[in-house]
Amino acid sequence: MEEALQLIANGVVIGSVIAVSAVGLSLVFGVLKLINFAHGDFLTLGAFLALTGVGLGLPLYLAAIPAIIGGALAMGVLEKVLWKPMRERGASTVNLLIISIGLALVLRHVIFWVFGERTRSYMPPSPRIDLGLFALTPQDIIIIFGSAIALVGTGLMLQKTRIGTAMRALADNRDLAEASGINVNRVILYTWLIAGALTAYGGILLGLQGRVFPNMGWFLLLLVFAGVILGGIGSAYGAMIGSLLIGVVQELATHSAIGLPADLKTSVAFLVLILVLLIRPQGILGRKQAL
Amino acid sequence: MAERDGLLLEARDLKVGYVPEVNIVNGCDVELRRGELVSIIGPNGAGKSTLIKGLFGLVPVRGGTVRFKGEDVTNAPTYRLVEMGIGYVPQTENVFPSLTVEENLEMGAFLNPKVIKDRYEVIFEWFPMLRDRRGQRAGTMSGGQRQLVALARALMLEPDVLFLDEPSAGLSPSNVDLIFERIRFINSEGVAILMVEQNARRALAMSDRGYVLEMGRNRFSGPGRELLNDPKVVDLYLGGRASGGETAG
Amino acid sequence: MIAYFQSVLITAGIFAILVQGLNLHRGFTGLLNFGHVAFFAVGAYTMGVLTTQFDVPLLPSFLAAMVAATLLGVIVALPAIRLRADYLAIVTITIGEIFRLILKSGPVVTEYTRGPRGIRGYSTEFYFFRENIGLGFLDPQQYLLLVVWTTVVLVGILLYVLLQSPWGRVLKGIREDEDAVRALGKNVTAYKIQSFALGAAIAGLAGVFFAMDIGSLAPDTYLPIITFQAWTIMLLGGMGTHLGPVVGSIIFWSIFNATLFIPGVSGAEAAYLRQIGIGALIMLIIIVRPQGILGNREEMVLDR
Ligand SMILES: Nc1ncnc2c1ncn2[C@@H]1O[C@H](COP(=O)(O)OP(=O)(O)OP(=O)(O)O)[C@@H](O)[C@H]1O
Ligand SMILES: [Mg+2]
Repeated sequence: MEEALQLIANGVVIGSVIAVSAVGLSLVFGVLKLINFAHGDFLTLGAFLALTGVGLGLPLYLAAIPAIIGGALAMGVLEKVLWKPMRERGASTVNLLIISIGLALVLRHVIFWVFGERTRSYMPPSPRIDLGLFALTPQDIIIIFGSAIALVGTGLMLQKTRIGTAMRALADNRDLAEASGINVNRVILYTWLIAGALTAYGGILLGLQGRVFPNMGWFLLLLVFAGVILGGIGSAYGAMIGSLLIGVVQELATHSAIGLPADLKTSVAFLVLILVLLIRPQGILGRKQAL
Repeated sequence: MAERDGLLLEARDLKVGYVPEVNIVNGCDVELRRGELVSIIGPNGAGKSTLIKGLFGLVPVRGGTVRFKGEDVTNAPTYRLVEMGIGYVPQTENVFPSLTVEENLEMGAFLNPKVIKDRYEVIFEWFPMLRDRRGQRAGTMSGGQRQLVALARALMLEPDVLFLDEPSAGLSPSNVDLIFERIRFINSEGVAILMVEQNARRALAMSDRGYVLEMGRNRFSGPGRELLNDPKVVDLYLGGRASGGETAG
Repeated sequence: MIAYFQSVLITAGIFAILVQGLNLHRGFTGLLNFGHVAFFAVGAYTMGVLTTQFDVPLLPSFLAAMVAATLLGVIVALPAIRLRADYLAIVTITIGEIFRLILKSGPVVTEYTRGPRGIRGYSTEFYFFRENIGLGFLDPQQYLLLVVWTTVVLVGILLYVLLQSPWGRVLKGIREDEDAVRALGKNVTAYKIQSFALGAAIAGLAGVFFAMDIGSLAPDTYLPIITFQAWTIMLLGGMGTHLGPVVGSIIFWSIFNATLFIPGVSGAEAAYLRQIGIGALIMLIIIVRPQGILGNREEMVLDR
């Protein structure tokens, strides 16, 4: 039991990171119907931008600010120079998906090239604090709260702001949004900026877990997909729930009563993903609700 | 150039299409004056919806001109036309299903959010049913209710012109009555209406003028009642004289 | 120098076969398979395990490799086939990764695959075999080159014939408009599964040759990058064309290997630059010429 509780706590930590990443991915998918395979590498970019700040002597919470802005700008610039021109030429979603795979390779290996393959970290590891039922490091606790803040903030943005409502409208029916006089390209640009900021932030949280390395985002990406699909693709709220579930499931899979090697825990998450697609392709929250 | 004789909208020799080289609308003329109610009828696939989409900048216009309020707006971006005073209710999928009624209306006024609060009052007076359901998701509403949401959304920016694409399609008879009644009312409030309808008899009977479209061209045009009584129109598009009960009167 | 060109040509041939399978999935049937590396791996490993640990002779082990890949193709196809194109991409890439992780650390499985340590010593019989068929005068590399390119030609002919047949026309119909084919009363799912299975078998065979070429098997050889390389080759040559995989593969591996000679770049850096190049190439093709070198835009409705 004790072991299970600890594993659940660990699962919530990694699930929180997945959730922040998944919500960004979901926003882009909902609004643009694009599955962005480069999403993981934007997590990495955020983590390394912050690492650069830390290297210059900034405390992490200050280094995070330019990193988040950088992440937003990176996605915004790509919208201007890549995605928007491609949309205007009538590129299919499948072709956009393939482009995103190329983009992922480029971005990841540029990071490899610039920073090398060495694994780094923001700070030396801290010991776990005993919280009674389970123990977590201070970083773990920051991750959980940091993720919760971002998720609530995104939820409020979607529900309460005009641009958020417009994003949901676009996810619902792009043609009608255009016919209503909504400046679709502007809403899409905002979507990328917000997704970019969220992704960089998610990357920093991922790095806080301990390790910053060029493959970190790519390795997380399939888990993010699993979280998104489990929750119902295109549903931001579903993505949050699905991600936490994926995090917990993969940690619990290593429980000594099950005895799975730790290397295989991601496979368990992937299997859950495939089972969900088989039984309920629309995910847990279905697709009644856009974003 | 300023607007002449209350001529709000004027399309000349319009050519519109989707696939290269195939014009679905192929040389259409349409006029709409202030306060008028004009119907477009014609067989399935005649290009009625395409004509409206061309006028509204949703499908590229390949030939001819569109003027609105005296200004050349051929191929103008849609949001520009919305800004200038056109509202549009598409034939299908004309609400945002996951948004509430209020949010749907808000999206109708995206270009000018300042008017939203005041406009709600007017709209809810015109469509009292929506006031009680302002928090309901549009996707959970019945066809008739959704059509009202769609109409209301298109009216949020106080347009001078409303394009309606088959507003009565798929509705129950009582809802058809309700929708036509509201359309007449909106028109009486001074909004000019250009309406595509399958329900040709009723549409023509309430219209100032009508156009009969076939294969992307004007086949007939004239005052609504005249078209209703024109034997050729009756034979070809109104299913023969026998079934008609609402000629002149 | 000749040896070097021969080794490049061997790799190009092996990938041409791999891409012939992928092209059947994507180019001719419209299936977005991003887990192709799994079929490549299962072919290699089946042959490797059977030869080294069960002393299965050469030809049966080749056959078993293709059967295993076929089975995996069916297993992947069953859940994946009903999904929308973009979901299919996610599921297939995921299955590829699961498969690699299982080869690496799956309980029981690692008793045979030896996990990360890998397998070697399975290729002796393959190279010996050339004496039996009177090709003893070739050195091992020339022999592999000959076998690989003969296979490229045979697979090419097989696919050409199949795709001209009524069966192939149904596949192309599915690519263009699935619903229309369904409306004709064809069992679209069955056709898709058959396409998946055959393409997987071809990839499995490519995997066997790949194993013969590199001489050892290790799970981490079979990363998703192999799939992406295969995609690049397919896009480059032109998907849905019969010669596309061959032309694409030769060009791809020529460029790839040419970068080995860029002076002043260290080994690791060159490796990163090559990956950047692959990514950029993928983007460039889709942006500039989505139909590839040999493709015909009019003929193919790929914008779905
Ligand atoms: N997006 C599109 N792309 C290509 N062709 C289209 C598209 N939309 C409509 N068409 C074609 O244009 C023609 C006219 O369609 P349109 O919808 O304008 O007809 P309509 O008169 O409104 O018919 P209905 O009474 O059925 O609504 C049809 O042949 C249709 O197939
Ligand atoms: Mg129509």
